[in-house]
Amino acid sequence: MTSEFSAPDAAQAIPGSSTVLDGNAAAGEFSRVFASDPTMVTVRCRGCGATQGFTQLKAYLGGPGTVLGCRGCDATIARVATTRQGTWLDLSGASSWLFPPTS
Amino acid sequence: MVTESPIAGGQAEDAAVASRSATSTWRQATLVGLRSQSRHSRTLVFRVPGWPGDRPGQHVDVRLTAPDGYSAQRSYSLADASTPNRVAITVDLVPRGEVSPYLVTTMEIGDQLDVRGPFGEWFVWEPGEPSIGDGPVMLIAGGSGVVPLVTMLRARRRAGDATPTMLVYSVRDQRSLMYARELEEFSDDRATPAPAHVRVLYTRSAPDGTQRPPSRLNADDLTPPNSWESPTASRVYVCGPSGFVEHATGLLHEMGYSDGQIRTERFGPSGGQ
Repeated sequence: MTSEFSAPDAAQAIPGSSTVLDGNAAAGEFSRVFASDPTMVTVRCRGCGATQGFTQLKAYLGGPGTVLGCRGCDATIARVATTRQGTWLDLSGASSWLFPPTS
Repeated sequence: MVTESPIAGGQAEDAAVASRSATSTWRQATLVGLRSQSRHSRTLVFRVPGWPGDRPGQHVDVRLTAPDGYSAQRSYSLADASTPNRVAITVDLVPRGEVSPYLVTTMEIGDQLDVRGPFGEWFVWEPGEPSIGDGPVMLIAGGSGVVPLVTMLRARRRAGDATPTMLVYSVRDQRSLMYARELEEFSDDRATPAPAHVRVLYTRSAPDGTQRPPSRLNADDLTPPNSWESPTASRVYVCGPSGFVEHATGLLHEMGYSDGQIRTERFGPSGGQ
């Protein structure tokens, strides 16, 4: 499914990228596809099993998409990219997303 | 140069704006106010029809589009909370940056850009939040990371809230100090209902008369003031460059704080403050 996806993975994004931030900075892009503010979400990494808040994920904004990486093992957790075909959402690096009840 | 007068078909445009209430929609923003905050930072106030208001600590995405269609996007903390149809951001000049030089030195009243948001329910402190209770609250800023924390202090003052609060603000030198006068007002003994405790820490050079020698943030800097009944804060907010945030959270962990007490927001490019 992701073979047509041109966004760099996290390992490639680190060198040469001066914009390793956190999930706060990716909130805008992910709110487009989740239709809500994602910063209260808890995410579990499929690779190492670590559970972390969306805001604590590493965020790589320099490439052609927005990539989120695990703060524990650096694996790519999720990415969003917009191409001529549309907006791609790849969540394959996460085993779960917990959205808390909205007050 | 864009004028302030309403354009033809304004009513239809207003209706379109009203129907686009989602935070992820780009909205046109017109610059209506400017205020210098330090030698190389300023607050920009935009009129944004339909803006729903925001909460202290939240941020917006800003998009600039060049005549040739090239666009650049950045996130900025909101510099004043809860004002419908108004968005204020405070921007610090990033040398050789792509966006901040335009915002800090070039953009003029009446010029336009796009904003969307607000985002970031997590990095919010509003007085009276049940999970914090009576506090205390510690705010730790590296450089322009002070912006969302000052927005929180303004909300605290506006609400007449007396939660014991300390701002620890790490800054390179006096020239880089943002919000200097307002920080004095927050910490003035006559501030009502209770002053906030403000510590400004200089990392490179300190003004004459400063007792603390210039150095990186350390554990002593995070020791609560004597006026606190509790030896630790209920909640800590940290905002700064990535390296600063990692350093500060490391100190907090050594002091016994748990991840659940700490809320962090990083901005780039990474580098110590």
